[in-house]
Amino acid sequence: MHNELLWKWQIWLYLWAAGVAGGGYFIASLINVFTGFTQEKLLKYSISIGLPFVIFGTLMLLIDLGRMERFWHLMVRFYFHSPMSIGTWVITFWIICGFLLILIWLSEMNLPLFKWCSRFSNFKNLIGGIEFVLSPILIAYTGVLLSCTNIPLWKSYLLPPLFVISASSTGLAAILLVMIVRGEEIHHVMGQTSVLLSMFEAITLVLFLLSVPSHIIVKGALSFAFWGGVVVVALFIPLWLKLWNLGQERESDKLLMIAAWWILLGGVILRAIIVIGGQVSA
Amino acid sequence: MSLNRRNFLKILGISSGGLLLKPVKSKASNKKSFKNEIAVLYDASKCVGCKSCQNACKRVNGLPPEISANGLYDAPLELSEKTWSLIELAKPKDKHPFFFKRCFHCTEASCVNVCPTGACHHLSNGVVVIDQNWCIGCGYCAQACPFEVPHLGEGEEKSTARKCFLCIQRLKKGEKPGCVANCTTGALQFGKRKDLITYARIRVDELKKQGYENANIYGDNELGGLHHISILLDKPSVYGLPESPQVATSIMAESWLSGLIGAGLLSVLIMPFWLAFKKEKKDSKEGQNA
Ligand code: SF4
Ligand code: SF4
Repeated sequence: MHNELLWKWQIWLYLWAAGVAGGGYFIASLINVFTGFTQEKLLKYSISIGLPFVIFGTLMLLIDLGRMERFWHLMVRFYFHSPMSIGTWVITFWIICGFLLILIWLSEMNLPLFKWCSRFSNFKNLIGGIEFVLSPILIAYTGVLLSCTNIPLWKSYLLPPLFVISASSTGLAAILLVMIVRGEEIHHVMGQTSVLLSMFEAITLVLFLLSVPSHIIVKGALSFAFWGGVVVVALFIPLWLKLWNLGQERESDKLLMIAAWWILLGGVILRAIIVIGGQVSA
Repeated sequence: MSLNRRNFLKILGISSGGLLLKPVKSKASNKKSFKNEIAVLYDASKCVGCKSCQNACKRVNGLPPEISANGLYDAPLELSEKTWSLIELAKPKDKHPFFFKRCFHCTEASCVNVCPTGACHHLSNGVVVIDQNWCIGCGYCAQACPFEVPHLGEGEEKSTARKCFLCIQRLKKGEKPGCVANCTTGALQFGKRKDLITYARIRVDELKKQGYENANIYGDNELGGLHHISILLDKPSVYGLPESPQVATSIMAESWLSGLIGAGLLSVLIMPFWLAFKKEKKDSKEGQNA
């Protein structure tokens, strides 16, 4: 029997959720750095969204294991030659740093319950810095995990950059979505950044597809899902909405919010198609 | 105690900490030399396709039969979690069309490289085993193996990855692997890898003289040297084998690097927009102050 579809929906949700978490913090940190550390609010949003996402993703991975109760076997050894081992440790430290950052921010709000956390405050920049370094590794990992196999569709070193860019795009979309729902002011540069990410993602996607035997995705059994789900849902509709929005005299947050939903949905579809397509065509 | 599947799993688990494996430390697969390196040699020119080896594998390892869609016991068509070795009919229109497929016990073993727990590891004799007490059933080895060898158990025992472990329980007793011990024609041989390679080279020269100009050894150099070596009468692709198998982690460094370069490019791409935004903010603040 073939190992056909050995990795099912849990794995593509895992890759997507880890991407939203790491990508969101990565983009938020870049923006914070480029603006002279004036956008801490974005960091707070990205961690508050990212933590539940990455924990959800980890649970997905766990329920996919044949022997779930042995998950701790991942945590007692480290193998630099195994992407999954590296990824597990990166995710673990990402979660720990994320929790510490949340505790520090809570202590800064002078909540009596979290006063004791102020002892970590001296390390805020250090922890934030570690999280910043871990984030691109985390999102690159989601691609490296697949590329280090013998599945022709996955075996491309263009898959990690594709996932990095898509994760950043979905991460930013998640932040935008929550900020808009909470009535926060959205700078127009956020919309521009999102447009740039979608364009960059489209270019990388084309390069990736050219680098692998992608027949099953582009013309084969999964072509409908690819053209409909990835090209239209993940890229074309949000890009069109965002560009149209940027062209308006008064930018509409609602349009940006709709675009963000499409980007998030497209992120899942992209990973689903690559995970399924690789295994079906192997 | 009959050696059914459950018992086998127990034995394999115990044996990992037992006598045979005690002095044997697990090795990372990038270590290319092994002590007391052993191997099995399959000579396709001597195989008559009787499947004694395949049946012996089931018997000595207590592996259940494959059951076809209509509920009948059936001859396996592919390797699976309960079929660890298989006689396949290759494509050539030749009188020696058989091939013995199972784990090749690669030196550059993809399964060992990607395993996140170390459950899949080399013994010091070059054999690749999966510790059934340590495997978490993530399936990474199955996705990484260039020959689609490891399979995860299904149903009640959907859990760990299974594959041939070259009958280490028999080797411990000084016996040959079940397949070799039951081969009817001498097509399978067990011994020191060095000796088997020397023999295989001589045999391939003979076969070439007999008119099999494509005769070759599969496993001499592939993936750093295999521990299940095959004398083939034709090109590997004729037997459904990759001509130059790649270890799954062969592009790992490039993959990490390109992922991080992607992240770097992305930073450069958005930087001007946010620097402009910062300047805009600063100017408007100064304007307000003025
Ligand atoms: S044939 Fe596959 S399972 Fe066997 S050692 Fe090589 S990579 Fe591992
Ligand atoms: S299924 Fe088991 S042996 Fe295979 S990679 Fe995962 S932990 Fe290792």
